[in-house]
Amino acid sequence: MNSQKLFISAALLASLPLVANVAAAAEPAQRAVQATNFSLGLIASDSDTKDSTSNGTFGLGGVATMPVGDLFGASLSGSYSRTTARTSDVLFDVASQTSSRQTCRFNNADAAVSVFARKPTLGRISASYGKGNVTSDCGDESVFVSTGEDTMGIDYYRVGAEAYLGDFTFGAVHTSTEPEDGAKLESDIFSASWYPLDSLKVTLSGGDLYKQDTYGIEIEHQPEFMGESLGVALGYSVIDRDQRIGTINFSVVFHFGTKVELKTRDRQYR
Amino acid sequence: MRLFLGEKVHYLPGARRVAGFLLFGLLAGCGGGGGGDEASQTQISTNAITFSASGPSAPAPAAQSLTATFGKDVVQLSVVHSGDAIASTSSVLNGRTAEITIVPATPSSIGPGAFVGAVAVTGYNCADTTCSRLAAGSTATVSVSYQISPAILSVAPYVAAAGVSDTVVISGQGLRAFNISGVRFGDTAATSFTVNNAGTEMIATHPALPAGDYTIHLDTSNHSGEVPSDVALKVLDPVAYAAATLDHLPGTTAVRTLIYDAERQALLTVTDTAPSNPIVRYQYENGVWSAPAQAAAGLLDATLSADGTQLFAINQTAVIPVDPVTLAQGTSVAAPSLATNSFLKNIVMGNDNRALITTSLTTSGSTQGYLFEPASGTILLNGIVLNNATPVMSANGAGAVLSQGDPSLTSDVPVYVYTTSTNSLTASAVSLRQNGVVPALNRSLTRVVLNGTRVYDGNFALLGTLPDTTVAVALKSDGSRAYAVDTAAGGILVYDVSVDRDEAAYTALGPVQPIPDPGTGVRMTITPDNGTLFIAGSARIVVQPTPAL
Repeated sequence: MNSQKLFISAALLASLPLVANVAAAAEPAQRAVQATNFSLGLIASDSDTKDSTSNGTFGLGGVATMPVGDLFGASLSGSYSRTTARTSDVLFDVASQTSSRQTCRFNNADAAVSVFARKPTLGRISASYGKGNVTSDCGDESVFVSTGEDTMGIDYYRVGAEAYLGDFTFGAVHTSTEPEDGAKLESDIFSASWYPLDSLKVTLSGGDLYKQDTYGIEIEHQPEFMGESLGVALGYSVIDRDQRIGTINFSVVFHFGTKVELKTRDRQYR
Repeated sequence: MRLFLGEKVHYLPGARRVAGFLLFGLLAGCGGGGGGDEASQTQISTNAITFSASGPSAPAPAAQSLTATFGKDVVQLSVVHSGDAIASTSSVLNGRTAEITIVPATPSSIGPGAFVGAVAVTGYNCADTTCSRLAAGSTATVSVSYQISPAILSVAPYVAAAGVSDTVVISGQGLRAFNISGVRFGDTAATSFTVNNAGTEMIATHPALPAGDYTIHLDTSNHSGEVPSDVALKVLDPVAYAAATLDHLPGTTAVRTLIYDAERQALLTVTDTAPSNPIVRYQYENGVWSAPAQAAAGLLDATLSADGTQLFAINQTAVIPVDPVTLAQGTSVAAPSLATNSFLKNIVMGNDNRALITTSLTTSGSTQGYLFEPASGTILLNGIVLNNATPVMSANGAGAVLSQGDPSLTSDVPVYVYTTSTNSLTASAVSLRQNGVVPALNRSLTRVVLNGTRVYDGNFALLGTLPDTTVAVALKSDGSRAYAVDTAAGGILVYDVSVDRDEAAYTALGPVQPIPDPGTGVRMTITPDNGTLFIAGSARIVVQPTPAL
């Protein structure tokens, strides 16, 4: 696995100068972020674990992105979500006058700051730091393993690179997540996106969360009739193991002020 | 909208090929994972836990623990439960294991029955790289079963006559919680039984039994093990009491209570005897009645508990436990919120071992009564306001009849019925002003005589009347005969009250049975074998073999 990652990374890096030469010859110089912009979205997902519980998540998130000179940009993002586990999957329903089936909920809030360098004709490299907190409310007593309490703080660091190749974008992201008092979680995600239309993106991704194969596909569309301000995305991902976890994601994002096509937004505003 | 794919690509030759190659490499590169499935697994030391309690009043069984072991990828351990069997769960983490403790519900909170529950232990993993979402790993489920046995509380009457088949009321809790297929008295099966809808009362018929103690057993098809029971029916050989008179304590002016303790062959009275109303006991032994033993306590009434192990007496303000043999008194329990100028008047005990207590005023008026529960020592107002009510409990303890008022009232007041299984009081269709003759009931409350003259069936339909000169009545246990002390006749008259006289007067069967004058304020009772009548008045106690009519 590690050798394969190295191979992929090397291939990505090797391709960058080649693409840079092509793009530089065709487009005028552009800033890393054309203008400060804001986005606010609703996020919903449904995750189902084979032979275990399924759960649904609903939340909202926002991001502000701003230019820092011509080459750099920065973004601040935050999100809040609530996940509800469907304990009915594992607890039989008992007709009862004195008791009811217990539920399990998780609340997450996080915020992150990112800085990045981008050549819109070339690609982007980024670094992020984020901090989050997740709380649980499960049954009589719910505990996070690392803290022994019902709350857990999270710090994470992320570095990533994207290469823009015509209608394709290739990306690699490494994330190092440190749960409070817990073991560090290292993960990589590689992605390949294709813009069959400038308002439509199809992304395939693969990763190694928990050293297990993860696959995903996502389709994002920014309908023209919505004035290029609203984006919708639908995705499906799988963590491939004995107890396979399948997750369907759906999000709706409104972009304030910037009415540009999706591909342009991805490469010049986000 | 552009429809040509790649229209805006400013490509050099082979750029798409490069992209395709990279994408292929990307997906191929992810193919080497898949290890570490066990890192997200959660395993438990047992999949099934069983609790049992011997009855709804039993203490909760001890909590039971199990160990959950979970993989290194698990960040959160969720323990949730469902079902009545489980009161709560708790977990103590220790590294990658957790000791999970399951606390069963207290038996009193859910009552008798077979209950189930489930505990699900789920290890949650981070669902994304920043752990902003959690997704379930594996779940291990523990099934919990919990049996709370039904309670057999009492059998009433707890004394039966040898050689006679009869019905008894078995009171309990959860008698419908399991499939009861039979009832046994010792090893002898009941000939029939029925259970009320609430599962609190069972009417069972036992065949003729020889003398002895017979523990009540329930046969069930879905109860694991024998239903616990320490309730026994005492079957006694009939005692042939000879006619006799017993003297009161000197200074006795009236008899308030007359109790026959069949188990111990003793008579108990509460009398107005200076200086303080005592409870008095006469023991029959070797064919002779003993001299009266007494305990002075200012008492107004007394009753035996449903199992005969305890007397409960009342004074004006409290209930006092009294030993039925030694007459030693226990700690009294005061009646709360007693109305001004009111006092406790009478006490009767149902087959559920709860006592109904009536109250009275020194002036005319109505006051609330009480329910007394000896097991918890609590007395609570029963919410029903009655006027100087006099209760009489049926011998099977299933219900009582309360007449109220007094002859000075200008209108009749309702006769009330107390139902033991629900501890409720309801007004009957009959109204009257009670006189000095206490109500008489047969064993299963199918015949009632009010004011010494009016004979009703169990639905309070008037069947006929007895002479106005009746001063006390006792009914044969099956309700077929009324034995009336008649002052005009100078003795006991016997009436066949099994027939409906259409509200006409009954005619006495045979001649009067003369007895010594018991005095005024006569109280009367009959032995369970119907063989002897006890008649107590202000002058003396008369022991009289029941006229054979």
